[in-house]
Formats: sequence, structure tokens, C-alpha cells
Amino acid sequence: MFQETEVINLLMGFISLALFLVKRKNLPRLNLLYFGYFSILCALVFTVIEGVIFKDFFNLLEHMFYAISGIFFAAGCYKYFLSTEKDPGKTE
Amino acid sequence: MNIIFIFDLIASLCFLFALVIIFFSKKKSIDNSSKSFIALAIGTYFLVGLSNILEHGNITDYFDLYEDYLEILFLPFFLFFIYSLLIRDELNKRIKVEATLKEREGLYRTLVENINLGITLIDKDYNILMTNPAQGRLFGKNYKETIGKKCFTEFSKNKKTACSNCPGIESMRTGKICITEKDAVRDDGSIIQIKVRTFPLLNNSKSPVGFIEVIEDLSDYKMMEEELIKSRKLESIGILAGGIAHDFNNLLTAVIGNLSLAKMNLKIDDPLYQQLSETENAAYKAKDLTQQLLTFSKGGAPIKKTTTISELIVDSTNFILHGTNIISKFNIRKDLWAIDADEGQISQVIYNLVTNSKEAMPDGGLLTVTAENIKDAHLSIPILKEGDYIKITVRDTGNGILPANIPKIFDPYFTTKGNGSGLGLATAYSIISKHGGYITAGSEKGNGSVFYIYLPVSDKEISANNGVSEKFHRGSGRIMVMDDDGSIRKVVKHMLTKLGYDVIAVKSGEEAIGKYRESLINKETIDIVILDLTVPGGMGGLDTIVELKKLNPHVKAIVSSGYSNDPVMSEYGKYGFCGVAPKPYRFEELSIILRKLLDMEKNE
Ligand SMILES: Nc1ncnc2c1ncn2[C@@H]1O[C@H](COP(=O)(O)OP(=O)(O)OP(=O)(O)O)[C@@H](O)[C@H]1O
Ligand SMILES: [Mg+2]
Repeated sequence: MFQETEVINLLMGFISLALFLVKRKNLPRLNLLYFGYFSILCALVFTVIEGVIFKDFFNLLEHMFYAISGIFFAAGCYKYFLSTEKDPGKTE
Repeated sequence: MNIIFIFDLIASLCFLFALVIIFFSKKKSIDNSSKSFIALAIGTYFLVGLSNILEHGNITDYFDLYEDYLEILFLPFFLFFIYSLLIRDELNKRIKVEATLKEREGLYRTLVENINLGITLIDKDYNILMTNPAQGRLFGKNYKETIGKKCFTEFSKNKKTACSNCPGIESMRTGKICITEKDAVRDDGSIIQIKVRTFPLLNNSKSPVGFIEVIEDLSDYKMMEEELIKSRKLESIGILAGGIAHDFNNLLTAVIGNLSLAKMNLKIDDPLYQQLSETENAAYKAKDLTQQLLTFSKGGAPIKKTTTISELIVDSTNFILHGTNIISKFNIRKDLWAIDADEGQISQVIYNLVTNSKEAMPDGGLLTVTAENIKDAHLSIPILKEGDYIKITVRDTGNGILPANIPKIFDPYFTTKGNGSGLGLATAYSIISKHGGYITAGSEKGNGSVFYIYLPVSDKEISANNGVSEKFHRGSGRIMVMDDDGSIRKVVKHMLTKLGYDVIAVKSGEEAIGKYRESLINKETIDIVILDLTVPGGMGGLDTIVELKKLNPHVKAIVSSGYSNDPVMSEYGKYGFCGVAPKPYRFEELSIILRKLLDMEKNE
């Protein structure tokens, strides 16, 4: 069945997503990091669904998205925090 | 089972990698708080991944307990990260806007502070909201101190209420630009001529709340305009004067020449001698008058030589003041710079000025004449060309000139005297202008008058003193005189014969050339030729000298003319002449020139 924390987390995820979408125009273009964040949100969704049906399949998806998210974050951090090619602090 | 383990492994390693990068990142474009939040967010999932690995690897599931709480932490941390990015973005924008504003303000400030126009913002109650340094300079004030005060108290003298015809109010009423020219009185009493442009100042709802006043100083412009009018007036007289002066000059040449001749035939103690001398003096005065008229005409161009005029100033002044009870005081620099001047004309100027002063002080007084060197006078007198000048100041303690008359005194025929001709200052003006200088006057009724003369400094060395002694110089040799006027020919012939010369008189260039050729054939050398510059209907001096040079390249010729303006007269050397003799002839001078040329020939 559902775990309480997972549902709360999912709710928070939706709220954060709403906030993100509203403000996205003003945010600097750190897209890789945002993709990482979306992947985490997906993982959260799968965690909840996993408690209802296809437990194994969604569990697999959940962990897969963790991995995807990790890749995005690693790439994002590499691109935005390390390489000197472009200044990502700019909005446009 | 296995594949999940691999995913977790990948996730953990990636998150760890990201953490390490953030930790070592030195990039300034993302600030530290953002970095901390993203690190915390990533850190949570690193731990989640780690706990999963431990669990799936059957090492321990102890951390599984905390996994849920860690997961919950990710979102707040990530939101904080985004939030800090937003704040930073906002901050950046504000800094940028402020920088552009500052830059633009700087540009506006440079514009307003450096422009040579007085610019003032005034509200509808006449309070000065803002003004610029040019406005301050115009009214001789510190512009900062005028801000907040009423415009009519600051920018006019002794005003307690707004000006009756304020162009600013007019602009506010009509909503249009208003342009007026007027005189403004500065605090020190001096008057400046200004052009005022006012523009309505509108608020957001387009109703007027004040006006902008832009003031332009017209003083320099007006001065130039007046100078132009003055010289136009003089020009028109010149045309008239030039017309008669030539003939008149020729007549006088005959008169003066005959008088000189007559005197030479008499002994000094002869009673007739005295009378002839007086007649001669009167004739010279008549000549001076013609000369005075001629200064207006094109014929009045100065025959310049490089000289210092210190002595000339003192002599002319003392000459006039002699026998009056006016005390003269001279303040003339010992090292007064030399100028290129026609001494006769400059002494005429001094003569006219001092005569006026004398007439202004019938009961005596003090006349001060100052002469000084002025470097870069054009900086203070914009009408002058760039360069160094000498400045002569003639100051008297007479009855002064009414301020209203000052603009008119240089006009020809302007006089306040019953018997004045009104030509004195006009002549002075004309002469000074022709010397490239400038003359101006100032006065306060009751305090006397003051005249300032600026004359450009010469860039040449002072020429050797060709002082003229007043004796007749006798000589011998053959001289040919060419003049179309019979009476002049006659008197010159007489005169030169008296001095011991052998004279051939001819009436045109053609005749002169013929005679000269003859003399060459007969080996009767003509030592000097005197050529009239203009011969109506015949070959003039200039063409004649060209022809004579062909016959004898070493021919010695003197050019003579009543038109002393002619460039040939002032630069005779360039045209092949050895000397110049302005008409009417002063025979003393002519005799000296002839002697000098003949002596030169002997020495060669
Ligand atoms: N030093 C002075 N003091 C007072 N008034 C002067 C002085 N110099 C000139 N003026 C005024 O300027 C007027 C013009 O002077 P200007 O020398 O041109 O003519 P004038 O002296 O009247 O006649 P003229 O010199 O031809 O005999 C004079 O009539 C006089 O009113
Ligand atoms: Mg006079």
C-alpha cells in the first residue's frame, strides 16, 4: 500500500513543479539540472504507483530514473560548474 | 535484482561525481548559496543511492529506515536552489539597470555641464529647480547657490517680482517654444545681450508644471554685427572720398611743389619766406585732410614698416598737449613689441584721440597713455585674430561719453561738438582696422573716457632706421620723370633741376621707354626713373618698368602714386622698383631717396 512519506513527497513534488513552471522564464538556463530534477519527480511517481500495481516493473523504473537523474546532474554539474566555455548565470 | 543494483550504483556514482564537482568548482557565475543548496539536494540522493546499494548488496538495510526522510529533503533543497537563482537573477538585473542609469545620468550631466548655453529648469512659481555652470557664468554667479531661489531675483538685478513679459509663463500658457532677445543686467551692473528660449515642462498628464529656459549669450555675436555695420558705413564714405581724393592730391602736389621751389629761391630772412612757409603749412594741412579722407577709401591702405611706436606715441601726444594745462602721464613699456605700421597713420590715430581728450578737458586734467604687450589677446577680445598684440590705452579725465553714445562715436559724422566734423574717430577706426587691429571705447559720464587700441605684433625684425632729415639733399645725375599731369611734371622738373639733377620729363610710359632706349643708344645714362603708377589712357608705371627692365635689367626706378593703397606701393620691391614716393611729393623726402639710390649705385 501507499507509504505516507511517499505521498507527501509526491505532493511536494507537484507543488514544486508548479512553482518551477511559473518561474521558469526567470531562471538561468541550467537545463541539465532541471532534467535531473524532472527525473527525480518521475521516480517519485513510480514509487507511489509501485505500491498499487506491477510492483517489480515500477520499482525497476524508479531505480532507472534515479540513475538517469544522476547522469543528468553529473553532466549538468560538469557543464555548468566546471567547464569554462559559457556563462550559465545568464537568463537568456 | 541485479539490474536495480546496477542502476543504484550508476546513480550513486553520478551523484558523488556531481558533488565532487560542486565542491571544487570555482565558477563565480553561480554564487555559493546556490551551490550549497544544489549540493545538499544532490547529497540526499547520493545517500539514498548508497543506502539502496547497501540494501541490495545484502550488506545492511539499516539505512533503509532513513531513506524516506532523505528523499523528502531533496525537494526543499532543490526549491531553495531555484529560489536563490531567482534572487540572484533579480539582483543582477537591478545592478545592470542601475549601471545604465548611472551611465546615462553621467552623459546628461556632461552634456548639461559642458554646453555653452545657460540651461535652467523653473517651476511655475519661478523657483529654480536645476541649472548649469554656463548659466552661472553668464550671470557671474555660483550656479549651485541659485538652486531653490526665484529666477527673477537670481537672473536679473534688483527684481522683487516676476518679469512682466516672462517668456516662460507664455510658453506654459501656449505650450509652445518662446524665443526672445533682451538685455539682462548682471549683479555687477554690466549688461549682457541674451537670447532666451523657453520650453514648457509638462507632467505625465500633459499639463504644464514649469518651463525650461535656455539662454544664449549674444554679446560676441552682436559685437561682430556692429563691427560689420561700422565698416560698411566707412566703406560707403570711402567710395565717395576716393573719387575726389586723387585729383585733389595732384592739385596739392603742384601747389606744395611750387611753394617749395619758391622758398628755395628766397633767403630765410626774406618776409615773403615766412608767408610762403605758412601757405605751405596750410597746404600740408589740406593734404592731411585729403589723406584723412583717403584713409576711408581704398587709397588709404597703410604703407607699413616694422617699428616700435613708443616714441611716436609720446611725440604726437606732447605735440597736441603743448601749451595746454593738461598733464600727460606715460606708462609705456620699455620693451614694447614692434608692429607693422604706417607711422603717419598711427600718429594720426593718436592725434585724433588726444585731440578729443583735449577738447573734453577744456579746463585741464590728466591724460594717461599706456602701452603694453598682450599675449594671446584674442582670448579676451574674441574679435581679434589669434596672436600677440600691443595695447594702447588713452585715458582722460574729461567730461566722458554718454553710454548711449558709445556705440555711435566711431560712426562717420557723429559729433556732439558744434564745429566737429565727426571724422576723427571714424578715421582712427578705419586706420586701426586696416592695420588688423581693434579700437574700442569706454566711459562713465563724469569720470572721463578711455580708448583701447589693439595692434597685432610684427613677426619681422625692425627695419634699419630710415629717418628723414629735413634738409634738401643735392645731387647730380640724369633723372627721368613720368607723370601724366603737366603741372606735376613741371614742378618736379624745376625742383630736381634746382637740386642739381638733369631732368627729362615725359607724360606716358610709351614716351618713357622711347626716351630710355634713345639714351642707351646715345650712351647718356639715365640714373633714375620716377614712374607714376597710374596714367589714364596710357601705359602705367607697372607696364613701363617691365619694358624698361628688358632694356636694362639694372634700371633704378621709383614708383609714385596718390593711391598709397596699391599693393605696388607697399611692396614695390616685388614689382621691380627700388623706392616709393607717395604723392603729393615732399621734396625733402624725394631728394633723400634719390641721393640714397645714387650713392648705392656708386658703391656697387
Ligand atoms: N575723449 C573724449 N571725451 C568725451 N567725448 C568724446 C571723446 N572722444 C570722442 N568723444 C565723443 O565722440 C564724438 C566723435 O568724436 P570724433 O573725434 O569722431 O568727432 P569730433 O571730435 O566731434 O570731430 P572731429 O574730430 O572730426 O573734429 C565727439 O563728438 C564726442 O562727443
Ligand atoms: Mg575729434
